[in-house]
Amino acid sequence: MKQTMENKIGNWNAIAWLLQRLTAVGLLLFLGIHFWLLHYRHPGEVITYDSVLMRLRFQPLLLADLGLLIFGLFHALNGLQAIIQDYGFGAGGKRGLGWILLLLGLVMGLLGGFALWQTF
Amino acid sequence: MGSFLNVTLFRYLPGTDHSPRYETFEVPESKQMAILDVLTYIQKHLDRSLTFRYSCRIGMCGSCALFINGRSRLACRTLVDGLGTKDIHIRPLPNLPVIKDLTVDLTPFFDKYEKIKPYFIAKEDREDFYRVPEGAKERILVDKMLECITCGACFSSCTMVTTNPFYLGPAALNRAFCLIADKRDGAGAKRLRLVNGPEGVWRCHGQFNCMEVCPKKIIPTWSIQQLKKRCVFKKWMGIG
Repeated sequence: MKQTMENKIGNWNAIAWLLQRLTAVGLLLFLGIHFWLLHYRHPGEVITYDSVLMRLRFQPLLLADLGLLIFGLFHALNGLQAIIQDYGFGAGGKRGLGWILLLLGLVMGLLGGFALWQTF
Repeated sequence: MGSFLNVTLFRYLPGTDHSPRYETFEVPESKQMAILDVLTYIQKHLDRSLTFRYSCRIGMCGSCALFINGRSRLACRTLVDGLGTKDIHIRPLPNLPVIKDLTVDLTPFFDKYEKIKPYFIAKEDREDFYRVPEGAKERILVDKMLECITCGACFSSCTMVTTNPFYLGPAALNRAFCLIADKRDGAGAKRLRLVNGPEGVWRCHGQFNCMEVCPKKIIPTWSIQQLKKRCVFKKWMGIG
């Protein structure tokens, strides 16, 4: 059966719904690592630029921060899109906003990824 | 001398009244009095112009759903004693246009209900009756959800319906699930496509308002979650 635009949006909604849950689980892990490293591994430690650089030069930790960035961006922007859709904006408007959020996510992801990569 | 109830009612006739207003009536309380008894007393003895719907009076038809003391309830099944107060506030169901006083236009509700094809469509290849034993797993799955009397209480309580006028709503989606889960029905894939749109199952965020107000103790949120799973995994479940 030929898919309508509604179905295509609906299928994306289905994927987004699943990814929202997967990224939520991922965020628990990445946030856990992030908080442990920054606040609980050495409580009271003063965080300096050099200590952050040292940490990010260690590949697994860099990947953890990258994961936090990507998962966090997706989770936040997808959640924002869901809220916008909840208010019933017209279909065209919704699609436009979806593209804007996607672009925003890509730009922020690239900027953040570039910043992390620079430290490595 | 018996006790009296303070009953505040929403009054409005669109097109005639400038704006809605509230009127308070004193109603003598009697034993085992239901809200419907209160309203019929007011209409019979105090104000014959009061407009509201009712039919079966035993919680089977769903006609008398109203917003009573802060939540949607059936007037015939809500006892005054159960409210725990002598001050009663009654408004028409939210999320629906008012026709007069406590009577709402249910067209938006039923339009959305109709969108999901709420009737059984038999499979074309079946020649004989499909027997479903009483204790069968597939029957138990939808048994409770079949009790819906389309009173509109869930629809009127859903915040997603309030914010998004295009959202199908809990009653329609619950009905869609009942039919999609029915192996005898031949339009499951089509219905799944209908509810898989941006105004379908994906607008539900699991707030459970619908479950809280349903007079038949149905959990539309659960039905909607089942539909979401089917939409996501339909390729592996052989649907759609």
